[in-house]
Amino acid sequence: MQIRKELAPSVRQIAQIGLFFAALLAVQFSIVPFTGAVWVFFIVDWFYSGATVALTILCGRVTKYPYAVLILAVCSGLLGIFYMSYGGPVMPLYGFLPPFMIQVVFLLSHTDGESLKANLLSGALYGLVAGCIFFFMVTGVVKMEIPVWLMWLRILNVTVTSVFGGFLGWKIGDKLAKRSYHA
Amino acid sequence: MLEFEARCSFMERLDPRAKLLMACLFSIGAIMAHSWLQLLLLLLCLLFVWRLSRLSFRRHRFLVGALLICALVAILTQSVFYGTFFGGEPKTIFFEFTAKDTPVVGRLAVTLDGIKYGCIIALRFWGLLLAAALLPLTTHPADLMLSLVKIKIPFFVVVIFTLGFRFIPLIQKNLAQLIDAQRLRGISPWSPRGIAASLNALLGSTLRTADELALSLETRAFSATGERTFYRRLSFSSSDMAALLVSVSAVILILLLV
Repeated sequence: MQIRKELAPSVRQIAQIGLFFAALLAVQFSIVPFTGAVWVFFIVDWFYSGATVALTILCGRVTKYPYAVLILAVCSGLLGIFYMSYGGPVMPLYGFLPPFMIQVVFLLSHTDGESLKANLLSGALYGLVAGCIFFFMVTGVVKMEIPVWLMWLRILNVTVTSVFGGFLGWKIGDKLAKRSYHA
Repeated sequence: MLEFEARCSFMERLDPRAKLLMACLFSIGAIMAHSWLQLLLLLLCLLFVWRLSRLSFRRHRFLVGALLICALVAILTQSVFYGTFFGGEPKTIFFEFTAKDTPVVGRLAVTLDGIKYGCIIALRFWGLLLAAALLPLTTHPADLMLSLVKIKIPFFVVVIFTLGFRFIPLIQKNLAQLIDAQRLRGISPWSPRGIAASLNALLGSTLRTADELALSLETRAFSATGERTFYRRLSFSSSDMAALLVSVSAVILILLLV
C-alpha cells in the first residue's frame, strides 16, 4: 500500500513513534502480572490507562506528525491480531479504537496535544470506548457474568483515569516539545 | 514473555498467515463452545498442536501462571456474580453477602452453580490464551513482520511495530535506573512528584535515543525509494492448506457433534 509522499512521516518521526510505541508496550506488559487484581482494586487503572493516554497524547505532541496517534492505533490493533489474548478476534478492536478516538478529537479540533480541553475530551473518549469494548469482550466473548453496576463503576473509573492521563499529557507535552526542537 | 525459540517443528514451517487463521479458528471455537465437554475437546486439540510445535509448559512458566490466574479470577468472580447479567436463578447457595432485593447491587452470594460456571469460563480462557500464544511462539519475528508486508501494511508501520518490541528492554532498563536515581535523591518514585519526574526524564532519554536511531536508519538508506526486497520469503504451501483444513474440520466436528 503506497502512502502519498506528503502524508508519510520523516525518518526522525518514525523513530520517535517507534519508541513511544515501545514505551506503551512497556506499560502494558508491566501490568500483566496484576490483571487479576483489577477486579478488586481499581487502582491498576490509574497506572495503566493514565500512563497509556499520556504517552499517546505525548506522541502526537512531540513528533508533530498529524497522524502519529493513528499509527499508534494501527500498531496497537496489529498487536491485538498477533497477541489475541482473552478477546479472541475482537482484541484488535480493543487495541485500535480507543487511541483512534484520540486521533479523531485531534483532527476535529485541529490540535495535536497542545490544547487542554481537547486532551481531556480525548482522554474521556478513550476511557469510555476502552471500557465499553472491554466489557463487550468479557461478557460477549468470554461470556462472564458481571453485574451491570460493577461494569459502569469500572467504566467510570477508567474514564476518570484516562482524563487524568490527558491532563498529564498536556502538562508534560510542552516541556518535551521544546526539548525535541532544541535537541 | 512469548518469545520465539527455534525448535524445527512442523508448526514453525507453516506460513504465519495460516497460523493466524488457525489461532482465529480455535478462538472462535472456544467462544462458540457452550459445554465443558466441547471446551475440553478443544483444549485437547490445542495441546496436540502444542505438542506438534515442541513447546514446553516448563519453559513458558509465565504463560502457565497467566492461565492459573485467569482460572482463579473466573471461578472467584463467577461464584459470586452468577445470575447477575444473563439471568438465571442459582439453585445451591453456600453463603449470601447481600439479599436479592438489595437496591443497585442485588444478590451477591457464593453459589455452586457459580463455581461450576466459573470452571467453564476458566476452560474458555485457557482455550483463548493457548490459541493466541501459538502464533508468537512458533513464528520468527522476521516472518511475522514479513507477513504484515504481504498483507499490504505500509512498510514504515511495520518498522514502527518492530521498533516497539526491539526497544522495550531498553525502556525498562532506563525506567529502573530513573527509579533508583529518584530514591537516592529521597523522592518516593510512586508519589505524584516522583512519577512526573520519572516520566519526564524517561521521555527525554527516549527522544535522544530516537534521534540516534533516526541517524542509524538514514545511514542504512531507510528512506530510499524503489522496490524493497527481503532476504526471507513467505509462501502458502499445501501443508498450510492441509493444516487449515484439519483445524476447520476439528473445530466444526467438536461444535456440531458433541
